[in-house]
Amino acid sequence: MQDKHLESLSAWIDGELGRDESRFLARRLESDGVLRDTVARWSLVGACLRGERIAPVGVRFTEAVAARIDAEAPPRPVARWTRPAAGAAIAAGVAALALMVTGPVGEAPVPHGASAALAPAPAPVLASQASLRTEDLAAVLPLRQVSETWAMPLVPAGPAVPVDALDPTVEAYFLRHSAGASASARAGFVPYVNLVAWPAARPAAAAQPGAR
Amino acid sequence: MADQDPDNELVDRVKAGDRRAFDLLVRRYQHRVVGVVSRYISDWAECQDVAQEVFVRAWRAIGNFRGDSAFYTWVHRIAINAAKNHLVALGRRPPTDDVALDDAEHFESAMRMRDSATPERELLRQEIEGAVTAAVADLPEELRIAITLREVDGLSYEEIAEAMDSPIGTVRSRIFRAREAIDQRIRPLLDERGDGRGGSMR
Repeated sequence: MQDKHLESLSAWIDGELGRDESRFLARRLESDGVLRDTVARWSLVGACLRGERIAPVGVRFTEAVAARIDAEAPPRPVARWTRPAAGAAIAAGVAALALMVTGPVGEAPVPHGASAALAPAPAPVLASQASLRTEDLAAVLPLRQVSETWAMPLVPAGPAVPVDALDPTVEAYFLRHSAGASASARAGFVPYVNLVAWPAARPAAAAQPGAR
Repeated sequence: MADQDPDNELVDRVKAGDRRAFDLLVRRYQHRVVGVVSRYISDWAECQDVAQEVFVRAWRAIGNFRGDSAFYTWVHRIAINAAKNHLVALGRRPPTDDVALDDAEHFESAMRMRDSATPERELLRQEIEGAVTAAVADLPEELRIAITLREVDGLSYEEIAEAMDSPIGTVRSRIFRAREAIDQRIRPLLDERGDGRGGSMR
């Protein structure tokens, strides 16, 4: 009977045991110390036959390892979802950082309609410095006139806010920012959604070729 | 016949918290891991201590082992790092040239970084190697060919069956009987001096 188990063990060591036999042998190995010791000796024999450098150790070595592990906490199983979740967290962090660095936080007053005459700024200015001006964006974003790039929104803007009620400075900023963002692929997570509502008087520009 | 690496199966079980499965991995590789560590650390007690630490580290980190390489390749890397770190911690300089896995276990004594262990330990190693060699030489030819094709050439049972023009079941039986015959020659050596501390290999 033992020979049968040993022959199975021999095949298992070689990776040649069938799945069902493997399961049976695994249960047997849990309770059969002779089989477990045989694993160690046959592994040693294999290493010798291959001419590998071996250093024979005895059962005390195995026991010492077991004792050390007993003093350890069990290994924490790594859940499968943690890797993609960690990746998503990193991506979100990078996106948030990018928004903090490139997103407009403060804005200096800019005359309405001044976008066509944007002059390159001497150097890019971080938003955190709270002195970002439209001119600063021109250094890093290829701004174009809104009237040339505007597109009809996929979702028509509702009449919630009358255009005339907006501060002209704010309006000008939104228009330029939207155009600049779409031109440089920095339009955020849903670049295909036009976030700027345009006055009803401008639909003719939507027919321009290349409009998004 | 399944062609299933038993290590993968054991690693999966260890990841599920099966301590017995890890014990089997230790038994499968303890002689080789100690052999690798002994290249760096000559003191036998230190060497064993570091080798034990290698397995403890493997136990701690096995959740991160993704199976991209063989389990032993992974453990071998841990062993090299542990041995080097041990030397650094003691203020000794580790060897600058690493030994690749393929080469690590095939050095002749003249090329060894350090000859480890006590003379008794070295004698035991030589006696075991000699006993294995003698046992293989004494095997009937069909057993000797079968075990050699398997252990030395790494052929699968199917390939051996083809080479020997025999059924796979016969190959399986021959390899088992060869192992049994060799085992009978080395067991007395290990029983007597396996631990080097008067213990038994069991």
